[in-house]
Parts: sequence; structure tokens; C-alpha cells
Amino acid sequence: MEWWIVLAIILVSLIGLMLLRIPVAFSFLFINFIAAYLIWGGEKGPELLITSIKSSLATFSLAPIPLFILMGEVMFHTGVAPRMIETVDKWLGKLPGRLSLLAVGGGTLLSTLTGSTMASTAMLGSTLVPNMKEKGYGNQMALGPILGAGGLAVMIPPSALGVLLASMGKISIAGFMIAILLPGLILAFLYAAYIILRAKFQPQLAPPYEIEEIPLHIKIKATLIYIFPLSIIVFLVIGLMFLGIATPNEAAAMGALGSFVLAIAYGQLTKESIVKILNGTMKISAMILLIVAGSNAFSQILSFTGVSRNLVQIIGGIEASTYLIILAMLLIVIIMGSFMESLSILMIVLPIFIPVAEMLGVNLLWFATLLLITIEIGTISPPFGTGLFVMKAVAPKETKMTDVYAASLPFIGLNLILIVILLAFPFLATWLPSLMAT
Amino acid sequence: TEDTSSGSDTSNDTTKLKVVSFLPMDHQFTKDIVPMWLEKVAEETNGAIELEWIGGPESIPTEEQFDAVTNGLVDIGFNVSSYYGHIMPESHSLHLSPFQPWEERENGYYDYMNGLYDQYNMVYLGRWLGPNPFYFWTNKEIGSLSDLEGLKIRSNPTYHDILTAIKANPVEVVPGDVYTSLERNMVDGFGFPLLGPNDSGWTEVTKFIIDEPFLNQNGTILINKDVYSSLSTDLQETLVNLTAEFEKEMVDYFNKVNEEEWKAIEEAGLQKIELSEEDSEKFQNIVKEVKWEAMKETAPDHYEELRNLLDK
Amino acid sequence: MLTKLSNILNRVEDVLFYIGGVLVIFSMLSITMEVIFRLTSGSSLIWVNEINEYILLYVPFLGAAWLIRENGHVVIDLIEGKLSKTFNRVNYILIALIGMLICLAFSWYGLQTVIDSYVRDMRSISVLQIPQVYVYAIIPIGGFVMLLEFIRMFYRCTFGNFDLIHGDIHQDEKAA
Ligand code: NA
Ligand code: NA
Repeated sequence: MEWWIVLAIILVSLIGLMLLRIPVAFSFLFINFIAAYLIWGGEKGPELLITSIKSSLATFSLAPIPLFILMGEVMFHTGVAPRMIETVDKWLGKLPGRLSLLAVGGGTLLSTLTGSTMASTAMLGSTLVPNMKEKGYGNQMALGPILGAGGLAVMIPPSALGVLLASMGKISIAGFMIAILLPGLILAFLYAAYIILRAKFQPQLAPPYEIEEIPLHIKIKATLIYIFPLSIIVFLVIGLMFLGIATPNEAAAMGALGSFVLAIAYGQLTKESIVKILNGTMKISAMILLIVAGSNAFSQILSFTGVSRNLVQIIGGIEASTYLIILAMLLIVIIMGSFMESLSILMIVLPIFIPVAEMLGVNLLWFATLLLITIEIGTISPPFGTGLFVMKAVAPKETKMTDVYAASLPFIGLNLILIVILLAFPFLATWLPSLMAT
Repeated sequence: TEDTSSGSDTSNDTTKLKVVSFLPMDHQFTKDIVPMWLEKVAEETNGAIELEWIGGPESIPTEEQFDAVTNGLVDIGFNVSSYYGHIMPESHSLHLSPFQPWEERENGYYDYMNGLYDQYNMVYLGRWLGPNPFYFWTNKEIGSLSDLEGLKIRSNPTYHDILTAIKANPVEVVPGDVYTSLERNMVDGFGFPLLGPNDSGWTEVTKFIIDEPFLNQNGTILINKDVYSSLSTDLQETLVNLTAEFEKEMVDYFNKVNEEEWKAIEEAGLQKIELSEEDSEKFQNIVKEVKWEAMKETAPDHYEELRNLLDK
Repeated sequence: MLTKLSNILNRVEDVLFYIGGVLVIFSMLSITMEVIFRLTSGSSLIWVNEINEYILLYVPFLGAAWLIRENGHVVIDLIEGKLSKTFNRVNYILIALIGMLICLAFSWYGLQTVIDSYVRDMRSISVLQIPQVYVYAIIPIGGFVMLLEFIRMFYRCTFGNFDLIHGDIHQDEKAA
């Protein structure tokens, strides 16, 4: 059979299964078992698939994923995260779009402690939206900033999705965690700048309100208790990796342990919270790893049948500039993002895009950073971005889905601006990692 | 029980076969040498055998490639016994051969091994990675063999028992972390063939290479037996003969590559350390002893015969 | 009788699920221990890397059945809410059937692999030489529990109270 017929059959059935609401992991696995039987040759094929699943999961480079998730769960279930946001709140003066800025500031800090967009969006949404509504904020300034800030969770290390992307793309994980840091921060600044401007021009969307004067010593005390210790954990994760003292796995393990120590110090590690932590950690880790199990073999099958090689050759033969090909790849991810979920997109496109990027000879850290941003856009892009549904779920009852959609658009735009900035200035992604090894 | 009908594809039919390698297609060990063999097959068989190199671990995980050839999922595998010795312990004897590939074809070792591979439904066509012995690379200057005692050396099963025997500390480090662990002195050195460390950038953080090569390379070209039997006798002979010829070209190729690699390594600032004659002999004996001892334990049935064939 | 079996299945899934959680905690502790050990004694714990790799295989197979029960797997939900109840029911039967097929394959071929690695005494290609039979074992075990979960889903969609699928499935056993 021609390779492109194989590709078409595989892709159509995969997407068909997913549309029939077969869980993503099982859609991959179903295709794999059938392809293994047909393509790898009879009875022995599925057995090879079992061993292939084992070798793709039992890979040390994936170890930070459950650990990063564990770390975030500890932060959420022991009340460390909401206290941190309260503390940031104390510091913010009478600013235009104050609560929206709090969402971005709090979201940025939160991102240094957790790697999951869903959790971050839910947390920010449930704590801030009621307050925003009470103060008369419009949906544009209430829902939008939270959607955007939630996405920072994967753009600033620790990032479970980032680890997966680096591991699948065979890029240095520590290097990638450091590479996304600066673009993530730039994105936060873009959000903040946009909020201030919009609040200035349309004050009715974020009406200013009187804030209680908080004495300095209370602010400082709250900071020392609730923010300063967090910097130690941030150092354990980002700092140790940057300095090359610890591998990503070790940094993740120490970050998770650090968050436990912190929770104990606050007296918040109860039996109940431990159960919630184990529960949340297993839920997300098992879900992600099972998709990895399905998709790794999937890419091996694509590669075995020659689909990957042929596709890469064809793209290589296209008479277009490197930039144009990269733009096309990013566009594909953005389109897929509006109706698919992040992990599945990564799993489908990486086996093809990474070899193409290698062939084009572009810096992989840079390219992967661009990919991560487009994936992130997908979680907030209508109609089916998962972040939108989370937002809808935690927003007040009267909020309509179309409100959420409308609120997301400017923030999608800001993400696109970040992409343009990175295309123009690749060093923003490559400079920090280049300092690491020396 | 052979399928007799398949004997028909003799003259004008082409047999399409899939080839897999244990390393990716762009690796120093594979990128030139696999195509060299493929071209030779295309030439010598006048296109009667058409080979498709389907890639490396991205197509079939390295650890599964041996079984994949046994089961006929792929037809031909470029592998090393390090990745299948746990299934077929006798294959570790490839390490212990002091001979050149063509000498092995003369002295009976090649035939003996072929008898063993037969039990795994494979035909052994020949070697593809030699000469590429192993070296220890360090960051501590070594005056004598005893200076290696207590050093932390990044290891894998190939080096492990040797390191233990010379009282060094074997340390396990995943490939992606080797650079950092060398840089941070988490390890004092590592074991590796000549090719590889410079390409991976490890030589940036390594000071010395002990010029005391040990063990033989262990690369094998294996073909599924059913597939092999389905070829005409002519083609079978051609395959074996062309691989024997290939082995000579392959050794020449690697000799040249290694010569260039030595230059590159020295340009990277590494210093060569030579052991005294006495230490060298002592070290080589230790290596031989531990490896044969392991062979005696894991493959008792073939130990005597293999030792007879390989002791020089 | 069926309720009792169903309750046992819940119990088994819960236990496996939380074992997985404990393994992640163990992963955190062992890796940290390794770092401390290396910094203090200068040599490293050779088993840590490898054991942690196996945990990564165990976690999804320990948690998968629980996740099916709790609707925790990622689903691309474009058609939910746009379908009639009957069509919805048929859709769930299809999901359960495909799930059963996959999990049958996991159980059967997983078992073949386990037997194969036992018979051939396969060891890891590492210094530890851990028998791979213990590593592979989790695949048919996890696969089998998932199979039971899909059978329960199938049973409910075909004969039982379909509304339970949409709600919290295990609620009824707790009430029963
Ligand atoms: Na993060
Ligand atoms: Na999406």
C-alpha cells in the first residue's frame, strides 16, 4: 500500500474514533493494536506493541511529569496557592484593572509552582471571578485575564506538558524548561500591559474601587510567610536546573518534597489533604502517561511504514522559505487546537514536525517553544478549548459560553503577538539556555 | 517445513526486505556504514534484493529489535549483542574475539556462531562495527592502573564487572545527564568506544583518554532465517560473500574514521594516557577473566567451545 | 449479587489507584534520597533510576480503570448534548465495546509477554538485571481490571440504568 493511503486511513480512523468520544488514549491504542497486527505482522505484532509501550513509558526522562503534578497538587490542596494570591492582593495599590492584574500576577506566581493549565485556571477562576463580579467588572476584564493567566502554567517551569514535548522531541528537558521561562514572562507582561491600557480606555469594564489601606508591616509579614518560602521552592526547581546542579528529575523531586515541607510548616498537611493530593496526582499522571503509551507506539508505526520519512521528504522538497514552513506548522497546531486537546495534538504532530524542524536546521529549543505557545493558544481558543470549559464551569451561573469565547479573543491575540516576537527575536528562547552549560 | 513456493522468486522477481538498525540513521556508527552494505547488496544481487532501511529506535525500540528479526517483523537487523545478550548470552563472546572478521570466518568462530543464531531463527551474515574497541575516559590523570581505584566511572553492563574488578565505582547515569555529571564532577569518567563522546560534546568536559583499548566490537548483521531460506541458493551465497567482502571495506572505513577521530579528540584538548606494559597486560587479563567468568556462568553449554575458538 | 461484584470491582480499582499515588510519593523520596546520598557519600544509588522508570509504567496501568469509572480520561467532546438519549446510549455501547476489545488485547498479549519473559528469564539490560516479568506483569493486570470496568459500562448501557453513566457511576454502589 502507498504510504499516503496508510497515513490517510490511520488519521481518518484516529480522528473518527476520537469524535465518537472514545477516550483519546484508547483511540490511539485501538489504532495501534490493529496496525500492529496488520503492519507488524500477525500475532507477534501486538506483543511487540506491549513491549514497545513498556519501553516508551519506562523512560527516566518522563519522571518529572508525575512529580511536577504532585507539586502543584500539594500547593492547591494545602491552601498555599490561595494565600499566595491574597498576599499579592495586599501589595497591589489602586491600579487600573486591579483585579485583572491580580489574576495575571497571581497566575504568574502560581505558574512557578504548578504545571497544569486546568488546575491553574480553575483556581484563579473560583477565587477571583466572584470578587470581580461584585466590583462590577465586565466579562472581558474578568474572564479573559484568567484564561490567559491560567495558560502561563505550562509556559513557565515547572511544566508537565513542556517535559513531555522535550522528551518526545529528544530535546534537553532542563534546557527547554529554561528556554520557555523568558517567553512566559514576556507573555505575562503583554497581558499586564493590555489590561492597563484597556482599563484606561474603557474604565466601565473594570471600575475602580476603594481599597482598604493595609499597613506595611502586615504586607511584609504576609510576604515573609506566604511568598518568601515559595522562592525556595522556585529555586529548587528552576534554579538547580539552571545551575546544572540537579537533573530535571532531581529538581522535580526536590520541588515536590519542598512543597510538602512547606505544607507541613503551615500546618496544612492533613489526612484529608493527603488523600486529595494522591487522588489529583494519580488522576492527571495516569491520564497523561496512558496517552503517552498510546501515542509513542503510534509514532513508531508511522515511522515503520515509512509515512514519517516520506512526509518529511515531501516537506523538505517544498520550495518555500524555512519561515513559511514553520508558520504552516504553527498554523496547523492552532487550527487543531480549536477543537482538540493539547496532549493529543502534541502526540499527532510531534513525530512529523520534529524531524522536519531538524531537517530545516532550526534551533529546536526555539521551535519547541513556539509549538508550546500554539498548544497553549489551543486551550483557550473557541469553540472547544478545554480552558474555556473550565472557565465556564467556575464562572457565575449567568455567564454564557459566548461570553467566555468573546473574552478569550484578545488574549489569543496577545499569544499571537508573542509568536511574532519570538519569530523576530529567536534569542529570547535560546539565550538563557545558552548560559546554562558554562 | 519451509515454504517451497517461495523458492520461485529467483531471477526476475525482486525480494523486498526491511532493515532496522539499533541506532538512528544519522548516528556516526550507522550513517555511512549501513548504506555501504545496502549499496553492495543492490550491486551484487543486480537488484534481486531490494532493501528498505526503515530506521532505528524510532521505528522499533532498540531492545525489541532482536526479537523483531527472529519473528520476521523486520527482515534484517544491524544490532549489537549488548542489546540482545540478555536473550542470547553466548553472543557476548563477540566481545572476546581477538580476531579480525575474516579470521573468524577461517577459524570456525563464524560458523559456530551461525549455529547458535540458527536457534533464534536467524542467519548471521557478518560484523559491521569493527574495529571499535572500548576505552575509559577520565578527568583524573592516571599514572598507573591502581590510580583507577575508587574513581566514579559512568558504567553500563559492558564495563560494570571490569570496573568492579579494578576496584573503581561504577555509576549509572542516563545518556542525557552524562555531560552535566562530568561537568559537576559527579562522575570521574566513563567507558565508551572512540566514536561518540566527541559528537555528543562530552569531550568538552573530559580531560583524558586512557589509550588502552579493550574488548572487540559486537555489531552483527542478522537476517531472519525464513526469509533467508526463501532466497535462491545463489542469492544466499551472494549475500554471505558480499558481507565477507564488506567486512574488509568496513574495517578500512572505520580505521580511517578512527584516525580522524583521534585528531578531533586531541584538538578538543584531550590528553592520551598510556599504561605501562605491565599494567596493560594486567588490565587485559582482568578484562578477559571477568568476561569469560561471566560467560561460564550464563552460557555453560558453549563456554568450552567458544573459549577454544577464541583463545589466541 | 451483581451489586456485590460491582462493589468489589470498585474496591480493587480504588486500591490500585492509591497504590499508584503512593508510588509517586516513593518516586519523590527515592530521587531526593539519591541526591542526598550522592552529595554526602560521593557514590550513587544504582537502583533509583531503574525503579523510577518502572514506576512510570505502573502509574497509568494502576490508575486507568479508576479513571474510566470516574470519566477521567481525556475525551474530545464535540457531540455530547447534541444527541438523543437513544443515540447517546448506542454511542456508549460502542465506546464500551471498543474499550473491551483493547483491554482484551492488553490482557491477552500482555499475558503472553509476561509468560515469554518468564520462560526466557528476561532481565533488564542494566547492572541490576531485574527480571522483566515483574515489570510487564502490570500490563495484563491493569488491562484486566480495565476490561471489567468496560464490561460494567457495557452492561449498564445495555440492560441497566443508563443515567448512571452520566452521573457519578459509583454513587449507586455506595447507596446500595
Ligand atoms: Na508552570
Ligand atoms: Na484545544
